[in-house]
Amino acid sequence: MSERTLFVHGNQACVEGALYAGVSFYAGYPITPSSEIAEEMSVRLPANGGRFIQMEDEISSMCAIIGASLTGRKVMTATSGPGFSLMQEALGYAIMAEIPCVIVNVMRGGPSTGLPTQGSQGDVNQARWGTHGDHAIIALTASTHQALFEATVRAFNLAETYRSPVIVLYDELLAHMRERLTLPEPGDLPLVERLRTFVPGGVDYRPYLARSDGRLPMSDFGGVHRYNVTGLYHDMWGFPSTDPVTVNDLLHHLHDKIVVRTGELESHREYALEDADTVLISYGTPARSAMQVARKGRDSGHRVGVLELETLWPFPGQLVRDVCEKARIVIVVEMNMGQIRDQVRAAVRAPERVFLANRVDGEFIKPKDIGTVIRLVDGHGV
Amino acid sequence: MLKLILSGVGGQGIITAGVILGEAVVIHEGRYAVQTQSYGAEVRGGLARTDLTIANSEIYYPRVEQAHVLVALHQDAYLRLNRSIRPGGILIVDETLVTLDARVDARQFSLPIIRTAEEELKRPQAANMCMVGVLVTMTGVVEPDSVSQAIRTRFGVDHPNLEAFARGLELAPGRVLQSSLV
Repeated sequence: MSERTLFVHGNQACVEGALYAGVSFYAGYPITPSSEIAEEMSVRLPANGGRFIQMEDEISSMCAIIGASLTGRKVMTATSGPGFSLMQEALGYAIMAEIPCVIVNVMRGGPSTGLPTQGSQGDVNQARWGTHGDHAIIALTASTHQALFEATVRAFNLAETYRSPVIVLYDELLAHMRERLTLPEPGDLPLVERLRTFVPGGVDYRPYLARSDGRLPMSDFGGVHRYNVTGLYHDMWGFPSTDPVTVNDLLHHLHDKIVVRTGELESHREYALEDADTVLISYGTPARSAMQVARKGRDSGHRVGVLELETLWPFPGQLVRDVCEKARIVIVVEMNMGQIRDQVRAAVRAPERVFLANRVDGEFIKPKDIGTVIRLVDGHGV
Repeated sequence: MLKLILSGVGGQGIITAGVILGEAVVIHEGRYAVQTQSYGAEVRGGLARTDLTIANSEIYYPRVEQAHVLVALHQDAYLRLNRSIRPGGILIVDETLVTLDARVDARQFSLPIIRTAEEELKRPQAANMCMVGVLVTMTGVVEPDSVSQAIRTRFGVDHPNLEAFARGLELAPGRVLQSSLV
């Protein structure tokens, strides 16, 4: 077999993806179940000319990657729920100042310190609305190591393309289970490099002059241009402004550069949806149980299909609406109290047909758990 | 598809044994394996368990509910997990540390795995590789060569774990698993 075939845990798949994408700076504070990312990065980055810093907490970790990104590096941090909470203020700053960065949140049970060693998908809405103020965000997820590798590469690409933080969300089970990962050859997956300004030094440089495609050419901080970066509403030079037109345009720019591209940002996998009367919508490792249910259901003549979401935010409402159009029942399979179920209900024409199959006890959701919900909804009892 | 649970107490190298088997299957045979694990908060002494599913096609659900094969290298693990075996399955235990319970519906094999590592190989920490050897002979789920390669890659070309693995291959009473499962 190829030396590029590995048998690794999910956190290493994430690290391999980040290195493939060209990460050269990592700042973080280790926390279960994400710690192996920091551990691996602390060895791999310095060996490849990058920088690894273990910070004193997650607030400073987030701030450090923002600073490093401004100087021109591809950057990331990784954490879990409690750390992700601490990162929210600086995450908002990165959104406002349009700073490319990747934040990995390996979800464990919460709230608070919760269930450190067990899985959950409780941070889906936190990824969307954890930081204050109107904003848009991109959050990706995956259910296999190969998909996690690709989602991580894509996260860096989208961060650079849209000058935005991108969140990679996955659960403890994926983080710690081991399975096959085949590393793509260099060049197999497209990589997006930072768009840099052509404006030479000594000339008026407008760092926040947006292009119609939503991108902003950057100048490496500390290089030839001096410019202002702020979390306040700002004009095209980066200086604070309360001018209503400037404020209005900036918020619309921050929102539209992501939300109007929902279709482009959307990524999903599907199984046997063509004639499905029972549609299972899932993401992350619960999608593996949904797949098991659908495969077995098909073997016994039941028309079960799976829609696995790989982009959670912006939520692909149109896709979900189309897929559910002809479904008799829709069951959202997730490990929380229905965070994506609510999105699905808001997206479809017949929300009363949408049900939830969940587990929130730290145990991984079993195919049997999903089967029980299908039986109940179909009126067959438990 | 073959589902295995390897169990014991923390420090016995249970998880490493699962990883070696997974590497042998995935890296050296190009087939599929998924391994998950759970262990107590203790560094040593708590229950250690790894679930391993081996197949010739993609594996979706990663945990093992009912194992075709269960290995228990400690009495605590045996007592806690003997209901996780599929009735009629194969149960392999360490002769020194585990007392068999006849009520467990399985083909139970009690083998001197730890004693062999301690007394014959003078290397108690290699009991896990000895156990891997036993498993490979009894199940035929992976080629011995693939496991040797995985051990060489992980530990080094002349590592004593290779001898422990080879000794384990001989320690087993022979192949007991029907090939149809694999």
